[in-house]
Amino acid sequence: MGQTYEAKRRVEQVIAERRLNEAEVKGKLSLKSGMLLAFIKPDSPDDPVKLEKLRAAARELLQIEL
Amino acid sequence: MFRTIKFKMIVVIAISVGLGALAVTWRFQRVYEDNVRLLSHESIRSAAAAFGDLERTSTDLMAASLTAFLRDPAIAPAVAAKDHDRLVAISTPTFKDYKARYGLTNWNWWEKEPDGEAAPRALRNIARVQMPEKFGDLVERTATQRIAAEKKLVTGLDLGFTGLALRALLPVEQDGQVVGYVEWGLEIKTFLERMKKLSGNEYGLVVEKSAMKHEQWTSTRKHLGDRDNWDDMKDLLLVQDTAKDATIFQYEGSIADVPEGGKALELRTKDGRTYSRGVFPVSDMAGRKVGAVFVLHDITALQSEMNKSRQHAIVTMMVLMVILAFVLIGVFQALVVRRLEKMTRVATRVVGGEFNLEVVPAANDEIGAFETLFEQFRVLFVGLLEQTQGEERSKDKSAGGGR
Repeated sequence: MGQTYEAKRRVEQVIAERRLNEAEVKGKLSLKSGMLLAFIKPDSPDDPVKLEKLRAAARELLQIEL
Repeated sequence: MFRTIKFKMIVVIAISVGLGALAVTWRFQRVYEDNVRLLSHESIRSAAAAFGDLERTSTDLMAASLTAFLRDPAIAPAVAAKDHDRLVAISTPTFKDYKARYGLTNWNWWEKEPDGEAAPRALRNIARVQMPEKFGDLVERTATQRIAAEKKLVTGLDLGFTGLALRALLPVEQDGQVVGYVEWGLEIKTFLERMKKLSGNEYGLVVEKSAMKHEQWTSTRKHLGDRDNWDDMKDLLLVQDTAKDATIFQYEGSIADVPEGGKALELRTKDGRTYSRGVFPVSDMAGRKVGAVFVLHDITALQSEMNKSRQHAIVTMMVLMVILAFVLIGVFQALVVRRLEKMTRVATRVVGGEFNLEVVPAANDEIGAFETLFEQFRVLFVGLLEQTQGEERSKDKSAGGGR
């Protein structure tokens, strides 16, 4: 299981905890990071650049550290 | 917030409101100036008409009174005999009465010109009823020249040492022959007072200093208990006025430059009141411009009314523009902003995994065309994703089957 998938799981967890609109949050994170979170699977390879962008987006939108 | 179209629209509307207020202010100022100009012209026109009317009425009255007075059978023989004492004795009671009642200031008896002299330059005085001790001198004036030449009623204004006077002259006849002339002079000071009573305007009569004698003027003013105003203006002299404060008649122009129909001058403010000033010329019986009447029309009420109207118009316009601004922003919000926001939300959620979320065009307009295009793009995008997913699944299966 890659870091990107882990990050996706963490985001889903926060969305569930905060009862946010999943599609909207995932969409915003996808647009900011440049990768479709809906298609991240456990075996998806990690792209360090995109992963960092996802972390930054999560920091900005959800105020969490991935 | 500052980057939104809504904010930019508010800025544009605010600037429009400001420009609108400026335009209304400018327009009202123009209307006000036009009205003041019209009022000034009307004041000048009516004052000149009133002045002319008073002049005509007064000369008619003087002519009628003189004609009646000359019916006294004792007069013609006294004139023919150049009997100074007799003429003074006959005239004095009437002169005193008319002086008190009508402002009659001059009563002169003139000798007939020497035979054979059809148009003499001067006539010899037989008697001055207002100044009996002075007589026998030759006087050269337009009035005396005209009566000697025309031998019929001569009337008009004449510039004397105390200002303008209205003169009426008649020939005195005995057995159908002219034996001399009589002249009445009336101060026109009452004209200005009567015009003021009719119109409420203030009037001032000015003459060129060059036509006056300083010492005599000063002496006359002193005798009447008035301040010597000789030095108040450079070339002009205010000889009569109806205002409490004569400084409002100050003028640096020339009487010769005043057009026959008069002209409107500037606005003057004094003691919280605003006046429009105008002037029309006054000509003597020779047709020379010898004076000018200044007309001061109080426009304080008009000015105040215009200011109020201007303020009301600006406030009304600004309220209307603010309402219009709210309506425009509301319409813009409904027709454009909300629909764009909705498309942004849909795009975000599609990317976030809600691939079946559709954009339904809200109206058949420019944004509706964009919504349709966006929906078509979404369908293509989702199809492409599904195709990519399918290919990946097939690749995975193939990889699993080969193992």
